[in-house]
Amino acid sequence: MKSAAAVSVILAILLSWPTFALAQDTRTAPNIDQGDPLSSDPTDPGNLLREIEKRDARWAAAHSGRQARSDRSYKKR
Amino acid sequence: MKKSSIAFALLLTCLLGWPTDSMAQMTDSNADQGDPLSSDPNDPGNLLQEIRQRETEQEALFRVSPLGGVRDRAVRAKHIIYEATGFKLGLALTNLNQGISQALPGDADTGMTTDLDFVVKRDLINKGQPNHGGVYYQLEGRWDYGTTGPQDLGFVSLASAGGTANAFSAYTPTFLSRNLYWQHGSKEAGWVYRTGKITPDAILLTSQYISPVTTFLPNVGTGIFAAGFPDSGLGTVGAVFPNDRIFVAALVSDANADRFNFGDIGAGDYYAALEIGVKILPLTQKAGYSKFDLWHNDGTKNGLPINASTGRDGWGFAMKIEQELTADGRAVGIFRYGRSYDKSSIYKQQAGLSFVLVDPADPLRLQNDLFGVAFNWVDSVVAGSRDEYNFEAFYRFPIFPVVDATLSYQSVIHPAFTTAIDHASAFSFRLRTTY
Repeated sequence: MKSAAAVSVILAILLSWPTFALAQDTRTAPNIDQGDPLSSDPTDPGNLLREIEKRDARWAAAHSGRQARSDRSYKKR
Repeated sequence: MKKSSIAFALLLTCLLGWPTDSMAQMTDSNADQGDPLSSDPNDPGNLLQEIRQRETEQEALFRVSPLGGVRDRAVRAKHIIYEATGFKLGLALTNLNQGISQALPGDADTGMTTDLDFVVKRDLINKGQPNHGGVYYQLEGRWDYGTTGPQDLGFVSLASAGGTANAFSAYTPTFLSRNLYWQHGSKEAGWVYRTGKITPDAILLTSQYISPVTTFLPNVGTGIFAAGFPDSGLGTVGAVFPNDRIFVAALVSDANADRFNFGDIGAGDYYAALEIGVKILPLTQKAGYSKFDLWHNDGTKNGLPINASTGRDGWGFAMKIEQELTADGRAVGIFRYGRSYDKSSIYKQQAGLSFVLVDPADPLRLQNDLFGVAFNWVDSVVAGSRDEYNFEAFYRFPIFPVVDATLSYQSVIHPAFTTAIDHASAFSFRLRTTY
């Protein structure tokens, strides 16, 4: 009974907690990722592949300049 | 009852004690509210602001990756294979080193384990459409270099019920097929199901912020082992999404499942669970679901325990309440509670409160770093065990491009299965990379 009461109190706090933030402009964070519809676990195959795709994309974006420079110098040779 | 009340009071204190002012300050270290007329990240105002922010941030602590050439080739090879065959490939490697300050006489106090996940996906029907379907396969390997794996440091050396490193101990044999299933549908379609060899504890009650390979480490802080989960095995799970904020899922799987083989579904023992997911107060589009589960486990045919199941017939309920705490969704609070009955789950009860902050303000302005703290309590089903508590704080950051390092500290209070140790610290260093 006490456990149920404690859970109810925590639920109530969580539900009322973020109201201060709602009043602000809710700018959506970049890189929205809904993930696998059945699992939120990062090790679930669908989520793992999605994470790897994102990291590969970040790698490509960060190193595309370096790669382009490398390609140009190769062509010059 | 008194002990559980104390645990709840502590969790409640943590929630109430968190200073609202400092939360407001943490909303965004760059005090960036974005374009006043649009919340769309693709709006020119927001896009420019994001680009400026990214330009001032560092990709990693060390900008040059020692394995850069290997990564370039791996990315290119994966692309070629995908174009030629339609197979999407991925590899994740996670290594954990851990040391504990106290150990029972004769037991190890340091150890390391590597966890490998190799994933393959092949879309087979309706590719690119909401009702697409495909096959997934996951090979998992774990080895410990002849040391005592960190998971055993917690369970054996420390006689802990909550553990200090979920999943980090060697497999024998080293590799196994963890998942092999068909998945059809999507959230956009309003329905989805998965059938084959599945992993219930990686589906139900999960959170993107709770995983031993990316965030928190201890078993009690990462898994809900009061939910009687069977091991990876044959089963089916399906969900319907009436709208973006709600889903209802049902799962049935083999109670005799064993990750090393295909279990014994013919024995007629099943694990069944109903899960309801709700985004209670989403502040961004990436908000996670809060999840509420009711489950029943028939037990195993020989009465032996496996995974979170003790092998006995019984039922229970569990919940994970996840809430974004700031308008940009970078601060997230997660409350978890589980209760099992009939001695059917290895934890009779457990509760935990976790907090994560994505991209915290740090002097090096690192991208994609993460800070987390958690407090967990576990009441083991083993007779004579005592209530155990675990506090953890970690910081994860990209040490090299696409290589994440994590420093973690845990305080284990009253290990459940011994009175010889009242408190121990666990220090961990984790490295993770993907290809």
